[in-house]
Order: sequence, then C-alpha cells, then structure tokens
Amino acid sequence: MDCEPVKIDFFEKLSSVNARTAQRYQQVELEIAPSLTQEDLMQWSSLCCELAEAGWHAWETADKYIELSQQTLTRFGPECLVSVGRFGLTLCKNSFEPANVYFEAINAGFPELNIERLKLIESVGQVLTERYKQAASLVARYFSCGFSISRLQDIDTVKDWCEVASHQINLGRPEILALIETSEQYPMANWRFARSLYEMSPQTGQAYVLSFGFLTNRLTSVEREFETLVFDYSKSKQPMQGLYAALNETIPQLESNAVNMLIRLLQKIPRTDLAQALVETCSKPPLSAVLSNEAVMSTWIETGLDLLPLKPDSALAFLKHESSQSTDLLERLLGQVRFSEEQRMLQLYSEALVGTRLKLVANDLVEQEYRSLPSSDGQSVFLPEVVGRHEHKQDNFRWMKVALCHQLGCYEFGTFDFKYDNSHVPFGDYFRTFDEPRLAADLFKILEDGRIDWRMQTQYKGIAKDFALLKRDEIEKRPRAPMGGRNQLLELLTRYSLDFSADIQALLTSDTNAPIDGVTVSNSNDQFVLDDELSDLEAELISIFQPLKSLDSTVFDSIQALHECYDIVSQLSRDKVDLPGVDFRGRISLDKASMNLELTAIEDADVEFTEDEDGISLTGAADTKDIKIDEIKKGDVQEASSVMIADQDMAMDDEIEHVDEPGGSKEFEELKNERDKPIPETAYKYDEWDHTIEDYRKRWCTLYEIRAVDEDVDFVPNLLSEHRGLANQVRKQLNMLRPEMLRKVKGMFDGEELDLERAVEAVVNRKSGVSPDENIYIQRQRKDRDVSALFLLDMSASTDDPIADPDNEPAQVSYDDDEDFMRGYYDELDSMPKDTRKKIIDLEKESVVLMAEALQGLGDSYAVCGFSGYGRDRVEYFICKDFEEPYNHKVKARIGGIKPCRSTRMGPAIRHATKMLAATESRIKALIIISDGYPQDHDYGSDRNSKDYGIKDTTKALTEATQKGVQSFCLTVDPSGHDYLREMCPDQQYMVMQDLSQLPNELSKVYRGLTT
Amino acid sequence: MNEANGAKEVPYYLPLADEVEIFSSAYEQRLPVLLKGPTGCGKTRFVEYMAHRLFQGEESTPERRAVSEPLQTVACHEDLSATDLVGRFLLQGDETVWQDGPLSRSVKEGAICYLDEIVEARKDSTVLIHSLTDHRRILPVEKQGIILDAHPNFLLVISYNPGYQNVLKDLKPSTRQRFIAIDFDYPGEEQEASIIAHESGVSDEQALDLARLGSRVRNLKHHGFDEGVSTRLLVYAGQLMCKGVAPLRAAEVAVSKAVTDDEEVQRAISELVATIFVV
Repeated sequence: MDCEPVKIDFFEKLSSVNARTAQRYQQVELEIAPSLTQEDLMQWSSLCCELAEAGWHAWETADKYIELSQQTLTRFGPECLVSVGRFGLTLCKNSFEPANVYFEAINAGFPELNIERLKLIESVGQVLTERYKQAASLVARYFSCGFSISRLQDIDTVKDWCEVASHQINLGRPEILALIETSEQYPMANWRFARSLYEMSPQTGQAYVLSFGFLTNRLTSVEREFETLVFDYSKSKQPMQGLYAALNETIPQLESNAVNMLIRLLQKIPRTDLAQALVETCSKPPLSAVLSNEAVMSTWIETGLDLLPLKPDSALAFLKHESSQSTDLLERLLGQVRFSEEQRMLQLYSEALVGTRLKLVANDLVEQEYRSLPSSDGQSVFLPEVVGRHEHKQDNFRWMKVALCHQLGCYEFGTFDFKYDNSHVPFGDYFRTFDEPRLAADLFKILEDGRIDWRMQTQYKGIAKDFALLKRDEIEKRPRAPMGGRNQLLELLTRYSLDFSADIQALLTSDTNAPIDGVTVSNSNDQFVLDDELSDLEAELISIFQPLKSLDSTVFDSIQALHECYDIVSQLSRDKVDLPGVDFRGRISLDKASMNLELTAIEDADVEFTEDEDGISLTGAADTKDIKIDEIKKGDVQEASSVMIADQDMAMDDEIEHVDEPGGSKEFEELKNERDKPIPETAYKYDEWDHTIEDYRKRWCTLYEIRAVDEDVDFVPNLLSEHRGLANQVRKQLNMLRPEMLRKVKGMFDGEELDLERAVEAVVNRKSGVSPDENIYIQRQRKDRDVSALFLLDMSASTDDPIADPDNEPAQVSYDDDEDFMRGYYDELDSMPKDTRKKIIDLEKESVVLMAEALQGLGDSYAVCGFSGYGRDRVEYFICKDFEEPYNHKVKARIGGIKPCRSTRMGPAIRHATKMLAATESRIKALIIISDGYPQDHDYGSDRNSKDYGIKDTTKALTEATQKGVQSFCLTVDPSGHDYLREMCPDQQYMVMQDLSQLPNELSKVYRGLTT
Repeated sequence: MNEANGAKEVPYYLPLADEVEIFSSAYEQRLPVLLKGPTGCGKTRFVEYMAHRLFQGEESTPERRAVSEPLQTVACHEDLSATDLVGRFLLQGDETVWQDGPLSRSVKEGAICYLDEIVEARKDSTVLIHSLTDHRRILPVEKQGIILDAHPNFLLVISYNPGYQNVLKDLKPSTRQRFIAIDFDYPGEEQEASIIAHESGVSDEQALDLARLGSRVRNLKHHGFDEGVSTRLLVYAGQLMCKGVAPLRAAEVAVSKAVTDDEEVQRAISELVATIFVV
C-alpha cells in the first residue's frame, strides 16, 4: 500500500522554521524521492526537520544537509545519506558550527570524496567531539582540515593523517590544534612518516609534526635524508626538541644548497645535542660562510667527532666552535689568517718599512669579521682580525700585507704633506671649497689611492706583483651593471687606478720586469664600456692619471688631478646609488691622521728626524708647513678652480657626512682634546681554559682596561701619617735590595786583586806537577736591578667585608642560580650604608701604598692594577699606576680610590697582567696577586656550584705566566686558601695570611724573594 | 791578532762627510784619533784608506813611503794584555829573545797603530795608551826596562763602538779625552748602494735594494739588536747574490739570522726582503 504522502507535514514543519528551507526541501525531495524507499524518505525528511528545529538558526544547518543530499545519495546511497544526517545531528547537539562545516565539507568534497574517506574523517571526528564537547570551533576546524586533506591526498595518506590526528587527540587540545594548524599550512607533508614516528612514541611524533611542516617545505631535495636522520635519532629515543628548534631558527638564514649540505652533514652526527650544536654553529659566521665547502666541513666535523668517545664535552665544545682546537683547525682548513697571530711580526714589518710608531690594531667587529676594512688615523692602523677571502692561507696573508702596505704608503709617500691655508683640518676645509665637497673627496680618494699604490709598486718591486694580483681581484668584483653617467666616470677612474688593462697581464705571468708606469689603457675595454656620449671623455681622464704614476709623484699631483677630474665629472648629475670602494685600500681619516701626525711632530720636536731622499718622513706635515696651495697652483689651476680656492666663505655642504671634520681652529682643538683625553676603556680578548674539554675557549673573555678610575686624594696622605712607622719599616726592608754599585766576583781570569785562596792552590798545583788554574783574580762587577713588578688587587665585592676575626668561620657568598638576583645583590651592596670598620680592600690598598712608597727609593719599575667585573663579556681591569707613570698625586689618588666591585674572574686578569709585564722586557718580571677568595664569577664554568672551572683556568693562567718568564705569587686573606692555592700556584708560590695586619710586612718579604 | 797591510791597491772607501779631511789634519798634528760607530760601518776600512793615502798615496812623503807596514791593526779582545801589544821574551833554543809587539813596532817605525775595539782589551793594555797619547809620546817597555820615544810619524788610532758595550766596558774619561773623535754611522741609501755595488759586485739596482733593506732593518734596532744591520753584512748578502743565491735566502743568512735570534723579527725581515726584492 502506498503511504500517504507525509511531505505536507514535513513541509509545514519546515515552513514554520524557515520558508526558504521548506522550499528547498520540497525541491530536493522531488528529486530524490524516486530513489528512496518510503522509509528512507521518511528518515531523511525527519532528519531535515530535526536539524531545522535543533535550535536558533538551525535551518541553516538543515539547508546544508538538504543541499548535499542529492549528490550524497547518488554517490553513497541512501544508507550513507541517512548516516550523514544523523552524524550531523549529533554534532548539532553541542553546536551548529561543526555541523555546518561538516556538511559544507562533504558538499565541497565531491567528486574525490568517497565513503571510505568520509568514514575515516568521521570516526576521528566522533572521538574528538565526544572528548571536547564544548570545543565547537576546534571540531569545526578539524572537519574543515580533515576533508581538505582528504581531497588532496591519497587514501593511505588520509589514513595516516587520521592516525596522527588520533594520537594528537590523546595528547591534548593544544596538540590537536597544533596539528590542525600545521595541516592547514602544509597539507602535503609526509604523514606516513609522521605516523611511523608516532608509533615510536607520541612525543616523538608530536615534536616532528609541530616542526616538520616548515622544515619539509625547505628540505624538499633532502627530504629522504632528513627523514632517515629523524628516524634514527628518534629510534634511539634522543630528545629532538632542541634540534628542531635550531633547524627552525637556522634554515631561514641559509641558501637552499647550504641547507641541503647541512642536512647531509647531520647524517654524520650520532647525537642530537651534537647535531643541535652543529646547526646553531652553522647559523652564524664563520661556519655559515663555509657550509657549502663539503671537504672542509667534513674534515672539521670528523675531527670533532673523533673526540666523542673519550671526551664528549670536548666534542660538544668543538662543534659549538668554542674550543681552540675547533677554531685553529677551521682556520687551517680555510687558509684563514688571524691578525692577532701575525700582529707582532706585522708591527715589526711596518715599523721597519716606514720607521714609524704606528700601532697595528685588530678591527675586531665580530659580526662583520669578514667585512671590516683596513683603516688608519695617524696613530694606529686597523686591520681585520680574520682574513678569509681566499681558499689558501698565503693568499689571505697577501691580502693582509698589501692592505697594510697601502695604509703605510700614505705615510711614506706624503699624503699628509698637504696643507691648505694654515688650516688644521686641511682636507675637510679644502674639499668644502668645491660645490660638491663629497664628490671632491671621492675623487681625491680614487686618485690618491692610485698614486700611493703606484708609488709602492715602483719603490718596492717585490710587493708589486702582490699589489697587481689584488688589483686584478678587485677589478673582477667591480660592478658592470648599467649605471648613471657620473658613476660611469667614477667607475672608469677607479678601474684605471687599479691598472685595468690587458697589459697588466704581462706583470702577472712571465715578465716580472714589466714597467708599471708604462701601462696604457687598452682600447679593447670589453669589460667596462662607457656610454657613447661619454666615450670622448675617456682619453682625457686617462691623461689626467699619467703624472700620478711617476716615480716622484706627490699629493699635490693628486690635488691637481682632482681639479681636472672634478671639472669633467661634476658636469654630470649625481647618481642615487654609490659605487663600492676598493676593499684592500680601506679608508683613512685624512684630517684626523693629519692632525695626529702634526701633534706627534710637536711632541717629538727634540728628536732629530732623518729624511732620506725618498721622502720617508713621519713629519712630512712639519716639513711642508710653508707650502701653500696657491703656490702649487700658480699657473696650473684653471680660472674656475682658482676662484673656488679663493672663496673660503663657502657654506658647508650638508652631504659631506663622510668628509672629515667641519673645519676651523675650534675643530682642531676638539680633535686635539679628543686625542689627549685618556682613553676610558680599551677592550682585549682572551682565551679561557675549560678543563672539561681540556682546551681553550678561543677569545672567550672580553677584558676592559680602564684608566678612568675613581680617586680619593686623602687616602694616601692619611695612611702615611697614620702608619709612618710601618712605612719606614717596609722601606728599610726593600732598601736592603738596593744593589751595591760594585760587587766582588771571585775566580776571574783578571781583576784588581788576587784571590789568595785560589793563588795558593795554583802554586801548590804547579809544584805538584798539575796545571794550575789561571782564574785567580777578584774582579769588581757592577750589578744593576732590572725588575718590573705588577701588584694585582682583587676588587671583588667580598673585599668590602670587614676584616674578620681569625677565629670565626669565613663568610661565604652563595651564588644564586638567578643572574638577576646576583645583579640585585651587587646593586644592594652599592647602596648599603658604609661600615666604618676596616675592610679587606682597605688593607690591600694600604699594603700596596706602603710598597709603592718604598719602591720609590729602590728604582724598580712597578704597576698597580685591580680587577673585577661581571661575566666573561665584562672583565674589568683597572690601571691605577702603569709602569712608566711616575708615582705622583694622581696615581696616589687612584690607588686611594680603589673600591670593591663585583666578581673575581682571575684568569683573564692574570693574562692581561702577564701581557703588561712581558712588554716591559725586564729581566725579572714579578706578578703579585692580592686576593681574598677563590676565583669565581657567575658564568665561570657551566656548573655554577663548582669552583673547579675557575681554579683550573686560574692555574692555567699562572702557568702561562711562568712560561712567559713572569714569576707570580698569590697572597690571600682567605683562611681556606690552602685548599685551592696549593693547586693553583706553581711551585707553591702563595701565602695565606693568618694575621692580616702583617700583610704589609709579608708583602715586602715576598717582593724581596721574587726579585732577587 | 796583527794585520799587516801591505796592499798596494788603494783600499776602497767612499767618504760620507769630511772625515778624510779631519783625519788628515789630525795626522799632521799627530793628534790621536778615536773612531766611534756601530759595527761594520767602515771604521777599519777608513783607517786602511787613510794609511794608504798618508803613507803611499797622495799625502805621502818619501820617509813615510819607506815604511814597510804603514798600518798595524790590532783586533782587541778580552784576553789582550799589555804584553801582547808591547812585546815579550820568547824562547828560541836555549836563548830568550825579545819580540816586539805591534804597538812597539809602530812606535819604532813610525806607522799608524790601530787598536780596534779597544774597550774589549784588558785594563793593563789601555794604560799604555795614556803615555803615547799625550805630549810625552812615549811607550814604557817594563820588561826591558826601557822607554821608547815614538817616531815622529807614529799615530795611534783607536775605535770604539758605544752601542752595545755594557756599563763596565766603557772608556774612562781620562782615556777618551786624549783623542779627537770622528763619528761614523751607516751611510744613506744611495751612498751605501755604491759601496755595496763596489764591494760585492752586484748590479746597481740590486745594490740599491740591499741598501734599502739595510735602512729598513735599521728601523728595527732595539728589537734585540742594538746596532741594526751593518754595511758589511749587506755586502756579504750582495756577494752571495752574485754567486747566484736568491735574494731571500741571501738576506736570510747574511742579515736576518745574523743579527737576531728572535723568530718574529726574522720573519719581519723576510717579509721586508720579499717586499723589496723580486723573489
């Protein structure tokens, strides 16, 4: 029997909810009714109504169900149509959002969606819904994501993904959300592999899932290697979070082939902590620049891994590129040249070449280690700390040497002979006479640099070839891209200054005697061609260069050439982009150098300078004081230039930011004051010994040498008046060291008197037929003292403690793990009201003052320094008195001003003191350390509760001192000093003071022992 | 110990200032001469030249030309005693025969006696100088018990290197003030190049390069070698180069390793050589 049509009831029901929904229902019902049994039709219709009546605006959900019904029925059959409806209704019980998304996704999933995929997504969705009933958005998002995956991936991958999702659901809500986010972003990721990791452990899988999306996006060509790597690490249950985080951080910074290389190199690393270290190291220089060099990287890594069996900590430090072994090996492999290792030799070389006292200093900018350029300022020449531009060490050394020679050439060949109208900042003032001072300065640099190099190559034939090679390298790097007219001319001039021509090849191949000044420009300038409208200017510009190549060219030739070039180049408009400079020529602060040289000449006015015919004179400035620019220019300068020179009231050009100082005598005074001002801080880098890796951590600590020390003018006078007796006593003790002018030496071949004993012995020997000894005279010999001593005071915070009762337990500073706490601790110390009892630091100061007073009579050279600081990046070394300084009121005030500071990182302080002592070249070098406790600092070793690291590093520093001929002695007021000083001090050279009032006495005894 | 100069050729010497005129004038007045300067700068060669000039050359006289050995050079050392200079009795067979020392011979014959690096000698030998260098011009010979009057043509010349002498070995003022002093130093580059070219046989260009090297290395004195590199060493280097030794190696053996043991100073000198010479 046919059922009574029920559609009217359903239609009415739906109409009461929403008319449109009802209409839609009616329409679809007509379409699908023929394919459904009455029961199925009833179920379907019932579901439509239940959905529409489920809640407010539920008709929208019903709409969606109705909308998908036709296709679902056609593709999946009536049973599935009903089950989909029921599932959607279940979702509606909590919220409509998931149901809406569910229905929409199904509708959008056709034609790829099949029952199997549908059921997979539904099953996980059901679990999710049951677990997180209130998390409507999460569930909705799950379905959206799941169906999206289903559309894009094959059925097996969909299963894998669903498996992964199930695991994530078990882990927690944030985890499933994270999966959804990752899946949305990277739907095509390798879910199969992720599933395999989940089977190892959910945490392993999760870590991978959260990271891999991004990673696999960049690792497409090494995906398999990466998966193998992750699988192997995961199988051995190693923690992966750190490695993933490091990869996430590092990979964006690398080129794709560097990324691929990194992944391949990681195959060699058996442990994730080492892998993480390697990845982090490769994210920054120098390794980031080397990563593509497989041979070097493989050798370097293998050497590090060789340490692993016996010294795992050393291996880790190696791969972090923190150990000396690592840095030394890499430098060797890359052929890098480190300035600090060549510094002394280069200093001697430069001193010999130009007879000047220019100091060579490293341009130690860590972030730009490979980019820092050589420069000079009249007192120092700055060179990059590491040169690694080439593969081979000799080429890198060549670069460094040529760069140095160029800077020295400016002094030797008279760049600073230039004077302008009695100005103390001649270059700046002179350039400002041009309409475009910056252009004038740029042109001058190109011309003068070219002149200097030609003079160097002519005068020193040995290095000519090195210059030529570097010039060729620079030309190869020069820009060739289209550029504006002015830049074209500047580029042409730069290239000519670099001897750009085919003829230069003769110098580089067989004919080493090819004349430099005979180089002409080839017409076949196929690498750099001027635009047609500028080509006529080429010959004119070339001719301007010729005088600069002569054997006796001077800076005034460059000035003349500047005028001629300026006239040509300034007619073209300025380009927006600046041309790159020539690296090996670096830069030089012309006016600063000029001023420094002039001041040096004034200071050295008593010294007779020798100036040979080649014009090697540091005091070029003084010699050419009278030469005025007008005289040079007479008859040579075009009218326009004369006008420019004469017009000294030109307004300052705002664009001259790189040209030297604004000018005038006021500026000269400022420069002079700046030069005369004592340098507040100078930084030095020192290695540190890490006993856990049995190697040095290269350039680990930064020590700041501070000369601007607090002063207390009353301390020394008060002390001397209070302790006059003690001062006399100490002085008396040290006076015993004063050498006799003459000392009798027995057993000499000749002398002023006979050594009776030996003479008698000689006669007896002769009578008994034995050859007598001829050394029977006594000679009087002069003996002088050649001693340098350095007193190194511990200025740590603990020296602020009052002098303790020897019977009490010593107070210990306990270090909290929290750095902020320690900072606060020190700040609090500073702010506390002062204890009036005598402190340890006062006793240290008193002892040193009494020694200093006594040493005045002895004539020994000595220094007084203190040390403190906080952390390896801020070791503070205070110089109260340097060796050459007289013991005047300023020095006394500085010693009086010593006050407790912070930590006690002894190693770098000892190394710096050793360096100061070694520089004195005295026969006897003594280092006396006065401390109140063991070496400690918040990052003095990775284990803050262990004293070992600090003690061992200090031990090493003292050993290094001994090897450099410095005898050391440690005086401590720490009653438990025996415990560590026994290990730290070579040959037991230490003393633990029991009675602190004896410190001055003991100090003088120690001094006597060390210096005789 | 004794060096007799019988060479007929004029010893090569390039005057740097007025030292020739000063010495000639001093000789005319028989004023003793002290030559001061660093090692290897030409003091001995200068004396040889002047001896030739005064006794056999343009300023000679017939009497002086008759002197067979116009120059007696004594290289003083710490074992040199008065006996070595004045003379001693020697055993010949069963007789004792007096043998004049170089100083006695010069005093008797009227030659120039040149005591090179006089401060090295033992104290008893410097005492002899005093009586010869004042108005008395006598030489006591204690062992013979006689006093020799110096020949009118006799001249005493001493040399002294103030650079490296230690405080003990210094000339006493009473000794120093018996002499007129001529200062010597290393010549300028061009002059030194001429000397090197002449003495070693290298080309002018190489000689100039060697002179340039010398002047540069001298900027390094106070780094372990107080005197700088001497002209003599540069001549040695030139001589090696003439025999085909490469400049770098010649400079290494004749200059850097000769003047210092400091490896870094040696390296710096090697780099200087590589800068100056085409290697």
